[in-house]
Amino acid sequence: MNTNTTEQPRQTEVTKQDTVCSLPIYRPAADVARGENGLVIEIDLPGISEQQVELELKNDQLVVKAQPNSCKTEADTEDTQDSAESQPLINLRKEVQRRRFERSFRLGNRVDREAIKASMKNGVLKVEIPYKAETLPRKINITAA
Amino acid sequence: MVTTTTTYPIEGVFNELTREFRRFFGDTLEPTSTAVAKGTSWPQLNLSGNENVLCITAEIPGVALEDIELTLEGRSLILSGKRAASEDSATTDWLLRERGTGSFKRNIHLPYEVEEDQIEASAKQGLLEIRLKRREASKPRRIVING
Repeated sequence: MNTNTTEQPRQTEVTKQDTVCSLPIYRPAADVARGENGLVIEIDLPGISEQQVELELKNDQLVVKAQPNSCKTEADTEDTQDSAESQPLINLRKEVQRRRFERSFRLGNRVDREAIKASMKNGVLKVEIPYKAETLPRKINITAA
Repeated sequence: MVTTTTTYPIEGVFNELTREFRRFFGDTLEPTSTAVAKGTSWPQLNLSGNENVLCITAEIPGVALEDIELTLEGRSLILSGKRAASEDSATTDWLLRERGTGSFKRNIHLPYEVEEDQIEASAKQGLLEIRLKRREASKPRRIVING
């Protein structure tokens, strides 16, 4: 399976912005494990729920897109507003901003496209990609001739 | 790289607060494991507040609720825990491994004392949100000068 190589920058990197949604696009961190029966991809999508994730299989690419409900960036909403507070909240430390996520993975021929399953827990998207049954290793019997 | 900083000068007591806060905040303990890219701390967090309330948001995807530990020690809030590997890491064949597992610890210095029993914390969808209220006794009070 040909995936993004590990020499690329870790976790977050802004790749592009478009005019539809002004939130910057980040490439989320992912783990890809290869087992006997298939692949398992786990992607960090903090603050995202299942409804906000779009998972698509295009040709041989598995594309993951996620965005929070509102497309407004921090600049648009100013500081976080606390409804119960009379005084506005000031950002004292901002290490991470509102953003959306996008990443794609290239899958090989062994993959059973119909049987791909995805689930989400604690902000992590887990995609299980089984191999086609006929491609699994099998023993071949040798008969005495 | 897009940067968003929405800090701006505020008159009064809070100016002192932000300055002191920023000075102290540099002192965060480095997490003790591979769950961290070099030079950055994990989990990443945002902190905002005013003179009465502090709000912290930390991104902790993949961390189970029972693996998070939040401790208040004086004016330090310590966020620690561990992120477990879901697959059996020793025997798994990893094609890509960016997320990292292991323990983490962050030491957050607060600008003022907070009420211990009025701290609200909730973790949902990989986001930990903490809300702290200032301790009444630590609020600034006007001193009357006798003429």
